[in-house]
Amino acid sequence: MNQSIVRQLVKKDLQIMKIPALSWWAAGIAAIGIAVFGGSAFDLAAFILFITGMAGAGVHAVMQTVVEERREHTLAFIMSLPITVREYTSAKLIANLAIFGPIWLTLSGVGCFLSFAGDDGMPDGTLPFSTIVLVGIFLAYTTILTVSLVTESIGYSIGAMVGANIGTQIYLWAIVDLYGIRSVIGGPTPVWNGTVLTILAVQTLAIVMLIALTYVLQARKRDFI
Amino acid sequence: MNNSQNAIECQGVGKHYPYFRLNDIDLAVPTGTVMGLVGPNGAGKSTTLRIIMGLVHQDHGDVSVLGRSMPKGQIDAKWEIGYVSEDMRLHPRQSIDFHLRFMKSIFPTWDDEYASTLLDRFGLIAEQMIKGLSHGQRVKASLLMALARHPKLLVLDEPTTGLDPVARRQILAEVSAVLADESRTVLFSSHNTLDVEQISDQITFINNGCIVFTEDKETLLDSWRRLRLQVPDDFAVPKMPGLVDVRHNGHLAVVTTSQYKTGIETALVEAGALVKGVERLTLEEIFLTSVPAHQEAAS
Repeated sequence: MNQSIVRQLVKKDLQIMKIPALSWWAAGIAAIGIAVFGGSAFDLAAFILFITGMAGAGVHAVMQTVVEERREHTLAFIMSLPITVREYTSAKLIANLAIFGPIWLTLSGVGCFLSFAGDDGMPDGTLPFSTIVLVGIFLAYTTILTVSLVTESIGYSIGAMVGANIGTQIYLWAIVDLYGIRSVIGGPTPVWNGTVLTILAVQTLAIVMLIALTYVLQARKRDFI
Repeated sequence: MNNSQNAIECQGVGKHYPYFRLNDIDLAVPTGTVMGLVGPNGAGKSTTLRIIMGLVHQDHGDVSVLGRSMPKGQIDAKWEIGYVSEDMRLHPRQSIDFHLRFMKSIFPTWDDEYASTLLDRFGLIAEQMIKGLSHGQRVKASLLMALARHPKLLVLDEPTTGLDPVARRQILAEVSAVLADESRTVLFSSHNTLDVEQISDQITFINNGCIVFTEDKETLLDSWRRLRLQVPDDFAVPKMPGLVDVRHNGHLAVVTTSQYKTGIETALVEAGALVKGVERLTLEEIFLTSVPAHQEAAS
């Protein structure tokens, strides 16, 4: 793999996404600020803005760097360069994860810290479930990224977004009903029991498998424009 | 199949789509020449060029570009190929300068001075955003990106389509200038025969996914003639090689041949005709005559 060319492709996408990514990140930070300083009346608005900021960053990056590249015929320009499909796929995965990853991580970290810090915050027992929710968002994002990269289609990408959104809600409703989650969720201390750890492991494995699947499916492509 | 004299060689190359088939095409582009690939819309020009670029994989047949087998050797080959396509776009919300820096970061052969020269020559401003450029300026910007890295092979897919005459002339002049270095080759597709006639050394006609013929331009233009005849009532055109088209209008007839020789007039006179004129055909006329003839033969 030509790492130099992958680095240049990643750099290009990061430059293209610099302002939108910072804007979405700022929206997420604003949401946390509203939650912390706006009082409980603004909790719902803050939560919606928080989720919107995180989802917006991921979806915007995928649509801009993958789907739009195909739609606007920029893909022909990129694929006329001396890059392999594997290098192209790596560059797109790295660029997108480099955009979404830090936003997801900082918003999750700051959000959790502020939500659980102090006596008037959420009960600490909610932390494991919150972690599952946040990793679930990352899984949904990876699903959208995989579908978009493999299909390069607006239709399939929107389908993946709708599917990931609905799927995540159903999935979270289902797991919150599991005894291992339900029994500890409102407790005063976080309990990282077998159920929580298994769910987190399965989510992480699914993320890794989706990335591997992206490489496999991309390698089977024969036509690039 | 690797003949080092040829920058591009295709043998029996085919590609099947639901509504189009590229039929076992053979094509050889000698190093240091400009090959014009001429054909109507939907003839298979873009598919052929995309296969040559490795952007589309052929179903069967062998493709060799700059000595590399395609698509397997496409990465090595692409370091030395500049590709511009009519439907290829740069990033619309970025500037020309963004693309110049990006290309420079990839190609060690990038020539800043030449890029600046081309910017001036094409009337482009580095800070301009791509989305604000006209179609002609976008094509020029794409050509600049391809030329400033000094590729050995330039593959241009309909680069002059939709351009005004001034922009067309600039593009063609720059493509011609590339050939000052004799080791460089250009494969250039167009349905505009005037452009092809202007800069090509060799010409390939393609129609319905088939190569109609490949010919040296001068030989091609020399070998086609239209003969205007005054003929008697019972005149029948004698058998002659390369007879492509015969049209009668009363006592006037027009005979078109693709294998003109000086003896042809004598044969026509002996058959009873009076030769009123012998005219050379333009590339467009040759194209418009040979393509229907090919379609007729194929059907």
